[in-house]
Amino acid sequence: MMQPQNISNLVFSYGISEAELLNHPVLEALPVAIYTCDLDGYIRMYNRAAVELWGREPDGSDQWCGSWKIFSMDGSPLPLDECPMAKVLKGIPVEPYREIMIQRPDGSRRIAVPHPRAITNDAGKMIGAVNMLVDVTFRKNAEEDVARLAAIVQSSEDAIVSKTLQGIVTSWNPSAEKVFGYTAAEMIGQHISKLIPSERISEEAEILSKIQRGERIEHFDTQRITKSGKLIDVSLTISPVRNSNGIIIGASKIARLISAEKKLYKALQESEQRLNIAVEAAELGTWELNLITREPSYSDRYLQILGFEPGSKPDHSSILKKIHPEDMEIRNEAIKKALEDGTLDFEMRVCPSKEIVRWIRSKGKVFYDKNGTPQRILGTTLDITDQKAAFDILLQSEERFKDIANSAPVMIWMTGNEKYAGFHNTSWLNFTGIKQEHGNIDDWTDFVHPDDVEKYINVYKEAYVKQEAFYREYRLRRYDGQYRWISDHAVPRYDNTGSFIGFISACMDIDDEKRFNEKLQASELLFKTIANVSPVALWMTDVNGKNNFVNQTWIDWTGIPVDKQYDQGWLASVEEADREHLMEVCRKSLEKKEQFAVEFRLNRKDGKVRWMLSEGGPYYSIDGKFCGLAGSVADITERKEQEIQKNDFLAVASHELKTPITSIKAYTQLLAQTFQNGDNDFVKNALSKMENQVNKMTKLVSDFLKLSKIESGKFQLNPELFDLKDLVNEMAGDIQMVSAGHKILVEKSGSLFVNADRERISQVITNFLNNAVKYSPDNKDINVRMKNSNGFVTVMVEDKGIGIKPEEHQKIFERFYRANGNANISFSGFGIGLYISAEIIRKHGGDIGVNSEEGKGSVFYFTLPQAK
Amino acid sequence: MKKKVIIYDDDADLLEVCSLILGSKGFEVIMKDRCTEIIKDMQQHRPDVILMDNWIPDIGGVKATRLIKESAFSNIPVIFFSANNNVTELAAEAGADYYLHKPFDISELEAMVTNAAKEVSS
Repeated sequence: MMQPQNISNLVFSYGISEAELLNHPVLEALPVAIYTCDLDGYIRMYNRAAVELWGREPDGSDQWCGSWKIFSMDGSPLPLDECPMAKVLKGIPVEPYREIMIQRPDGSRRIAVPHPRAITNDAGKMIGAVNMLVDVTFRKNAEEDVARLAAIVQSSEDAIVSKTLQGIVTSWNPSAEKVFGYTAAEMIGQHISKLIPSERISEEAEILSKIQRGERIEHFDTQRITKSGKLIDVSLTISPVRNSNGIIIGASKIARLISAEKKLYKALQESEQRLNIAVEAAELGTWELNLITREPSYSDRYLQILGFEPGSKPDHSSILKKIHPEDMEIRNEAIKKALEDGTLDFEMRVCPSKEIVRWIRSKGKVFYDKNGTPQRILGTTLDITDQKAAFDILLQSEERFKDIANSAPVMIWMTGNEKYAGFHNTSWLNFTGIKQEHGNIDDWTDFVHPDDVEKYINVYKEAYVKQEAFYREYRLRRYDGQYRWISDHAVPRYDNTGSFIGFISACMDIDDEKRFNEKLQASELLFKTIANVSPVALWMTDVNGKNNFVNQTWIDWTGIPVDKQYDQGWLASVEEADREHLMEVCRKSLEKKEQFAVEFRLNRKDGKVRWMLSEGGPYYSIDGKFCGLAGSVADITERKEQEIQKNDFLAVASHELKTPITSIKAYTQLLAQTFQNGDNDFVKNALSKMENQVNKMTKLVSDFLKLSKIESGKFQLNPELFDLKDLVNEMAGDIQMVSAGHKILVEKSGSLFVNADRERISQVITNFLNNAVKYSPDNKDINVRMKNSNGFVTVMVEDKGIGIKPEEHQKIFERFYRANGNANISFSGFGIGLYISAEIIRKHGGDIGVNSEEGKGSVFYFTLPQAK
Repeated sequence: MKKKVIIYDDDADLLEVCSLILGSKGFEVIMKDRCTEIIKDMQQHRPDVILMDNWIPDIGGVKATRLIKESAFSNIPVIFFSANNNVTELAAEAGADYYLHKPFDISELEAMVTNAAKEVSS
């Protein structure tokens, strides 16, 4: 076998001429460019591949290289005499495998790797050089393509994975790491099923099967598992990978996360669905007009509204013909305005047929391009014929309401949807003096008193926000300029859908009432002020007798706080022994609605006991209604003490008087006894008269004692059950014994039982009989009668004596009063007997009196409650 | 033997007239114008009847009567007399056996003392 030889060996060893060598068919057939240069660099030999590479045939003048132009790989021109061939011929070392760029005459470029070698003879002397230019253009381009593709893969946001037909991962881009969480090192060499959820594992077999068939799988929506175990939605595009022979060796997979996209799309779909449902439910017709092409589009509903068949495609002029001729101007103006400001909103009539007229409302929006040129209008149209009819009815209804309101005597105002203005009825307008033709007043605060405006507005505002009823009082200027207090009761108004639309209010002039109340309050304040500085305690009760007012004086006396005084709290200060009597007096006064006066002891807060006099009686409201009791309490301690002293004095005085009387009487009787058998008539007579006078004196002193007891409150009754008839008879017998000159006749009577102080009643009977004897010196008949009726027993003592003048009938029962009788007749006594008798009877709850005529006698009577 | 009556009254004239009245009826009358040593009086005189005035110094007739009634001499009848209109209440309060209202009839006095003395005897 022939050993390879260099070319020079070939020439010299085998005696082949250079020409023969250069034209050897082998060199010519080589796909690699070869050429030679002599020592001067002139090209001596070249093959077809070189011509192909240079794009030209050297013309004999080419030195170093047959290229049109040479460049370094960085694009900088490379002079021919610096090319690698030149360097070799010049003996300059050449960097091997360094690529150069050859530009051909047609401007195209090739990349080649020169391999220059010196040609030497046997002596080693260079005789020329040979250069092989390996065209690596294709490879380079391929390398660049690969690099570009690799860069694309690496930088893609989609996960790009390649695998073998067995499913083993062979490449894994950075996005795959992001999407699935695995690094390239973790996935390359692993089976792709690592990413597939168990329920979807069968997908891989199907995918590989399709790939093997050479099919491409596009937009396969599925789910995969990440390294963290999270299930993600992905869209896969899988393509077969072929080798250079076109044989499918694997698959490349692009996986794109579709979660965000899906949701957005779903949301968009749902939104569109909702819009469609809404449009359908509202029976809205929709339409669009392309303002450039003037091409319209209409929904079926729109067409229906205008009277066209759904699905039909009427032209624009047909649409316009449906518009009511009188409303065409409205429509045109609305469109013009819409083009200016971008929104469309108008109502007009359309005639779906000759006989039918419907009202519609169209609303739309204009869309512009980036230059502000209107591009299209999108809009909706609604048939509002029924609404309009309802509104007309409502308007009529409101007009009827207004007619009624205007005839009402009460002031009425009403707001609609506007906040502050609205309707005011005739009464209101007349009050303020506003003429009807002035229309609605926008700001009513002009008529409100300046001091009340703020509250007037704030109350309204708050109620408007809450949509709830409100009440306010304020001063409103009347037609005559006077400000009058007004009460304003407002309630919210609603339309037939239940929506709040404003308020309606009824107002009244309450000025008189308010001023009266103010005066009343001022009066009450004045009363309380006066009451609280009064030196006398003042009190009031309610209709049930429960205390509801005490003034400061009482509070100061008792030291009890005002809130503890009410009801019966005030009683705590009253001496316990006096409470029952006090309450009884008050109870009777309340029951009989009578005046009363009662004394009691008060335990003052300083510990002292004071005598009080409470006087009171019923009080009434302006309309005569009984309101309770009212009265005063005065401190009468000094007066009382004086009285007590006086009465004690009386008692002592009476006693002191009686003591000597006792001796006188005893001596007189003793003397009478001594002389009774004697014949000295003068002595006997004198002693008899002395005894009579002593008895009179005794009686007078006794009366004084009784008087003092009555007035000192020591007058106590000792009631017992007895027959009054027997007592009357007994006393009549006693008086008869000492009144021989008179005839006392007691009328027969049945038993008359009473529950009374027997001794005291006997005193009364004695008093009556003694008076009858005393005041009838001429006519000696004295009649005593008794009866019972209506639960009372009555005793009457009648005499035929001097009688009593009518004006004295009441006075004789007063203390110390003596009736004025005949001027010639004087009657002894201090005039306290009837007073005492009256006190006794009244204390028993009875009555006493006289029926008398001057000169004709008297009938003295008393009554007592019959015993039950 | 004469029945003994002791009279307590601060009025000398009344004491004398009562003494005359009762003396004429056969009673021995002891007059006292104060009741300071009332129990001693009882021990000394051993009366059959006591007449007690309400206003007797120094402790008053009510208290003096109570003292007697709480003593060994409680069985001696006490006639309580007073000018006060409420002599009955006073007598009851004192625990007296009888009462007499001043001014009284001398016959009332005679009868009351005689009856009281008789009760003691029986």
